[in-house]
Amino acid sequence: MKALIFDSGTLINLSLNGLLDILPKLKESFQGKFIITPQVKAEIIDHPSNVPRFQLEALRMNELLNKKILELPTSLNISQALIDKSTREFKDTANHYVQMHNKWVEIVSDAEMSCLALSNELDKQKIENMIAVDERTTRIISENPKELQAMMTRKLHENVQVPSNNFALFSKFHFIRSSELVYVAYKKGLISLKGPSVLEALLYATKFNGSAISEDEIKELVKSEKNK
Amino acid sequence: MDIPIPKEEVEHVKSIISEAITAIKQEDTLTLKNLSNQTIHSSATFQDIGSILFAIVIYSTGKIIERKEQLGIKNWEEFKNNLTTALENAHIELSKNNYPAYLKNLKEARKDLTQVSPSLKESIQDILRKASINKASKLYEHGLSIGQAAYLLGITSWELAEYAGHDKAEPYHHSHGFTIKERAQRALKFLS
Repeated sequence: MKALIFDSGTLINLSLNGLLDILPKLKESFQGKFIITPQVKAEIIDHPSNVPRFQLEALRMNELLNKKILELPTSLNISQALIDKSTREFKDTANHYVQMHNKWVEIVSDAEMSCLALSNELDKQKIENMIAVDERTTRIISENPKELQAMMTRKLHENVQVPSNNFALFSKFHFIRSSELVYVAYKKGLISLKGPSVLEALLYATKFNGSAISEDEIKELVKSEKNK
Repeated sequence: MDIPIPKEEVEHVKSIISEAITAIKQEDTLTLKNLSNQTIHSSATFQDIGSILFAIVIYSTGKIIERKEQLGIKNWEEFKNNLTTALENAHIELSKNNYPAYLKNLKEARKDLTQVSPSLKESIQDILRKASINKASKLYEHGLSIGQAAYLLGITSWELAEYAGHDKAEPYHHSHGFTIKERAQRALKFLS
């Protein structure tokens, strides 16, 4: 059993690019579950259901849930109470990393931290898992926390402090972006469009709807595929 | 309720409010935009409702002034007077360290925007919504996550996704040892 945990941004990205149809196709050959936490469900279904501009997208997401393409943690016998408690712990820790003017800067929210909380629980159950996250803040805390201070200083144009050296809680997660998801779909022949520029177009499409992928990375991946 | 921003920042906010009042009187949209950006910078750090509300009010006011002719607001001077009065009162309350009353006056200023004309309610709501998205995108640029930025501005992550895509992604991944090719191969293996 494996599990791919989706943060809101990745699903929003695929939806805005008209690429949600790759999810059922990817799942067909995947020996596991695609999971969203209740916090992510609130962001992609519950909240936008009341915003006319995104009502249709919310309905499409709900359809994926109804068809069990996406499932909730309860399908793995993980309760919402457990996710909520663990989410609070991750969020509280992450929001006490960056300090400016002697005040902690709240940098993360419930949805992305709930994905880490769920991944943590799945690890305990020895279920191999990855987290699909498009935005950079969560990934930086986990993959390269030394960069956090430099990034925040650049972004805020002021000296920020990151007093803690203890990022162990965040160090064990494995991430995937919508950019890698469309790459996998492309490699598996699940994209109906064909042609030499399709991969590049797909990667740029994910970039412009929220995936934190640089142009250099896109060029590198496209180039490596052309050389194969 | 304690003021959730330090003393020196209170002084900074007060000076920005004064500048904004002058800019509204002079219909100086560029200054209003700059002041809004300065305010959102503080919002990223202190995440107080007042700074966020003020940033939205003055950004939206700038947009309304820009479209003054197009919108055809009849009681223009009265609109400006009501708005500047609410901001002056906000300034007074902040000087008295009365944060709830400061917030109340900022909310009053936002209400003045929406009540400028019943026939324009929808257009003004649209300006306010776009201002919220703009400010959330600025918070994202300041290093907050999409979820946190959307939460603070009361918008959905959907509305912010497109803006987030224009933030220049930094290839920090290389320094951590994962190249894009390694990430792609790892994803391919996991999803097989």
